[in-house]
Amino acid sequence: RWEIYINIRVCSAYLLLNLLRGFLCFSCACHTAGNMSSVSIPPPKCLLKSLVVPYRHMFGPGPSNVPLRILEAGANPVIGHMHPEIFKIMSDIKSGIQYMFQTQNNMTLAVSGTGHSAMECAIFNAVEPGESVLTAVNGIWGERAAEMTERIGKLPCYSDSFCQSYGLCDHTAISSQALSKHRPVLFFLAHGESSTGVLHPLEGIGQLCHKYNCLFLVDSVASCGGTPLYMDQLEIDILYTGSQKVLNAPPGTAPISFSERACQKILNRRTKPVSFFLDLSWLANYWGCDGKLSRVYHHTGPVTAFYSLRESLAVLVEEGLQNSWERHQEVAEYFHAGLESMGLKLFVKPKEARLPTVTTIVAPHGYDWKEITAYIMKTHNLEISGGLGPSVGLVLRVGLMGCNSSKANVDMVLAALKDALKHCHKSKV
Amino acid sequence: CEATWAQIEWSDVCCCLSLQGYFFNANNPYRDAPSAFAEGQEKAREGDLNAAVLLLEAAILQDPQDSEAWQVLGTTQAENENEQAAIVSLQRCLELRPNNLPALMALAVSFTNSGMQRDACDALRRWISHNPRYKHLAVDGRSPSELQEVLLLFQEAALLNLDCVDPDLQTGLGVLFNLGSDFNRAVEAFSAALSVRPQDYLLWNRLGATLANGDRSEEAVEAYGRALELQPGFIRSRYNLGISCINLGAHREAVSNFLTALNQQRQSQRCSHQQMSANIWAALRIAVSMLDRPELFQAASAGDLDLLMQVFDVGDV
Repeated sequence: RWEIYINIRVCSAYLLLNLLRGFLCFSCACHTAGNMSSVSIPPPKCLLKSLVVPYRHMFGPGPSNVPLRILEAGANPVIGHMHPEIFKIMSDIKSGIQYMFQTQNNMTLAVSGTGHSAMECAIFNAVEPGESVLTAVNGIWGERAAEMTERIGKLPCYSDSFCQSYGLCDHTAISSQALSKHRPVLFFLAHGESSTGVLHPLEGIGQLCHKYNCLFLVDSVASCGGTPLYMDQLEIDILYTGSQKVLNAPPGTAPISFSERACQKILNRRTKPVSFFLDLSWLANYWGCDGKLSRVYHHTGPVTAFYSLRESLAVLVEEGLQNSWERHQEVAEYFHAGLESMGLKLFVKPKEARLPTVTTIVAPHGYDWKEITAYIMKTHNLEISGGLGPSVGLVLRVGLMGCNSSKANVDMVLAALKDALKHCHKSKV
Repeated sequence: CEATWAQIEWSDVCCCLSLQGYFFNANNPYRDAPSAFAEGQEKAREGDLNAAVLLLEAAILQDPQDSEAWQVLGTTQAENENEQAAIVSLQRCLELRPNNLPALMALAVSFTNSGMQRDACDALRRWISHNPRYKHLAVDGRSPSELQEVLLLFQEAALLNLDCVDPDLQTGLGVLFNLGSDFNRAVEAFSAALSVRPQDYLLWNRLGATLANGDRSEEAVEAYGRALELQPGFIRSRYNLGISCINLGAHREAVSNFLTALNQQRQSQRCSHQQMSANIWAALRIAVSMLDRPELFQAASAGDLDLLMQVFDVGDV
């Protein structure tokens, strides 16, 4: 009886709403001087023109160029986000990510969204209010992780800049000062810190974290596929990357994987994650990682993005992970030598700390870096970047990732830089 | 914050004495010289900029409150292509004497060269507010110095001069137009200033640099030529000349000019690498790299001035 009462109340409200709507439409119609159309906002003229997108060389820190094969994969017909064919594609993707990450983790999938979505997925699932988190701030990504973590209510979040000037963290500092002092449940580190061009070594950190019962979260958006990374071997608990860097897929999906240890913590949460969209228990079901026979609708997966991600992983599998790593290293070294022979200086001094996918160049004396990047875009149709976060104003950044990582492209960038150096030198008033 | 991240290439300035953020040269032979300031001014006039700097530094060490010494040190450092030192000196001068107009103008120029637009505009606004002729135009208490606002202020001031040209005001206008990348108007302003002061080598350089930044490199070269005729020791102008040579694709001439400037700096005192301008070395390396002679690039990276001078047949000016 109670339910019927409610229903009647609801129905009345619904009727009332419809009546009101009708009344409003009627008054609108009257207002537009006898014109019976109820659309008061005119169609935008800009959409009556065709879509025009130029081609340009994307040699910044991302997104990278998408090769035709992967673009064409994305042009396949859209089918249902829960059709069996899509589940098969998602299964292919999962296998591809396991290969790329060098992991056997069952909890492996691609978050719908770009790198930041994966960062939030990791943090929102692994951390509960009241727990503490430690982030290594050696560039913008640590800052971002800290920013995200702070949003889960009142959370003790410790951001330590116990990294030296070029961004490498001291192990002993991490364990003795930070982990034992703060007892965090999660430690965040960017492997490929693309704002400074630093490649952070990961050896030993996972073990250190586990000694203190802490999960090890690694951001490899700018590094995965371009430099050696062994998730299981390094005892990484949560690893993620983005589709739009080395994989050369359009931005839109973010591969992520969770270790058994991470799953244990996540699936035994006391509280629900703050984000429904990124709730791992739901995502795990959609991706067939929870062992259940049936999949329940959670959200509409970006099917087109799945096609391109699948294909980009196929490209990686065909080349071979180790070949990809070696190629990126060789091209980076060739690039660095070329830069130095032009009188430019590399921002990261120790060679072993240089990220092969994104190179940071000290902004040369006597030039406005913005003029260099603008000139190169205008004259050579080529994108390179300035600094980001802590490196703003200090560097130029060049990203050569995936299919863009080649000696021919290096020559192109060097020629463009040489031209810019010739034309953009500021004179002193 | 920036200092934590940057692997900024310091010119090997090793100094043990610092005052208000200004790093003094170690082993200054003029440390206790009497009338160091007067001699310093004289040396600056003669174009021996390195010696001038040492003498002026000595004068300041003897009397750190000497605002005029700080001012001349600032302008001399700028002429000697040492912007950072210029900025620090001029700021110190203004702390002691906030209404020092030449210091304010020079500071605005240095900020402009360093890409610090807001600070440059602020210095120029202060110039107006301390200038007896124009200060009534400045609205009191308004601190944000936006480019358009300050430009308007200077244009209003210019309207007050119906039948004459105030070269300092025109200089300010030229600097403001430079900041807004309106190079043609900046050229007009500096040209107007030069019509009153045709012997002012600083103005010739400012005109040249404006032309160069506005892609009028051939005209820039002419302007620098005038500046250097008037003051052969004007290091900044020679540096600028080298840059315009790079812009014009005349890489050998560019190298020659940079070498001349470095040699002049070295000759002045038996000074080490420290007193030569890091900017000029950086520009030299880039110019040499465009010649595709790896062995010369090696020499440039190593700072081997003698070898390079020999190869490029650069004698003494």
